[in-house]
Amino acid sequence: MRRVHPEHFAAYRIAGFDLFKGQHERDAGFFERINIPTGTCSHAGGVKIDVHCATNVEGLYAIGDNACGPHQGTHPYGGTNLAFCLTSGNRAAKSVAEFVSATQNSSLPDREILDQGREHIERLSTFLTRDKGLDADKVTYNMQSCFVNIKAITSRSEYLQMAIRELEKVKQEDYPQLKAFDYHDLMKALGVRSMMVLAEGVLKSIICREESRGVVAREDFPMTDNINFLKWVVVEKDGAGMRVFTEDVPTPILQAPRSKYEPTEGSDLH
Amino acid sequence: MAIERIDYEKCTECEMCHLVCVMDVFGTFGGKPYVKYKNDCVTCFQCILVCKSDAIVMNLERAQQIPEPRVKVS
Repeated sequence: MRRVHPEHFAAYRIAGFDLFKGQHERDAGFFERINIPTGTCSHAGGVKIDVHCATNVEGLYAIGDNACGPHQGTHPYGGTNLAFCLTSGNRAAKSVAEFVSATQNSSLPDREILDQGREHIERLSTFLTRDKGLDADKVTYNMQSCFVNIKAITSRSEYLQMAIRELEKVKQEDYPQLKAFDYHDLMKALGVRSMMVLAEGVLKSIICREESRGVVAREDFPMTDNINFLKWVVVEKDGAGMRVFTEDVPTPILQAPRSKYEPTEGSDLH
Repeated sequence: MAIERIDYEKCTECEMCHLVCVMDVFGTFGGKPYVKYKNDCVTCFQCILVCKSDAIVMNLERAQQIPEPRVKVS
């Protein structure tokens, strides 16, 4: 664990904690002694942000589990994500306040805002105005069925490719029929649209990562490969499709070992 | 585990469950809350936490069935 999480252990050392001696609040999640919600224990990526929590869309910020946090590339045990949740929330709130005060007086012309509003309403109302179609639950079910045995799917490249093909079928056949019967359904229909994009991005990024790390366990690439994949996998919108590429992890305080090794049993805790 | 029903013998019609639910599971009719979209319960227990009269009844069923896998793994 010391080798895989060098920065976490350095932080604990500076704070005067030794996780392997005595009882500490911090090690509770690590050893699953207390019930920290799973969402704070595992993390598989998020919206790319800079140090101010800003995304590449002006005025849009991402925090916590929604963002690409500093614990990427390792398997964060309970508690570390909570720290990032608080830090990023604080940092983003300050950034948002600065952004708002800087842009308060430079608004878009009213006409442009109205046009944008009309365009959004038109797009949203297509789900409501269709005479017949599939409800959001049905399309969600079909989409999730591509992922049900995800642990098994992530094991081999061919299964991942099959899952992408199945997902594409849902996108081509079911999504165009998506119908919202009321405003509650409309909320879910919009969720389906987002889920579909995310699902495709997640599958493509797992295919790109030819190693096992954190929640990605590949049967065809069982080793953690710090030589070739100590990197972020970035998924970017490219026209109607997606572009997947890798990017170096920015300025780590401590250098991780440049070697290949088996994922530690820490990964199996979750 | 998901929401089952509201026990109207205990319910004080404060509508806190309706206000707190982020999944919009509850509707109201004549000032009375009811379970409108049962399948959308994500078992966050917020309604149970805010209900001072213990009127929310949960069951042990899944709110939605587990989908049949489309990718068959050998």
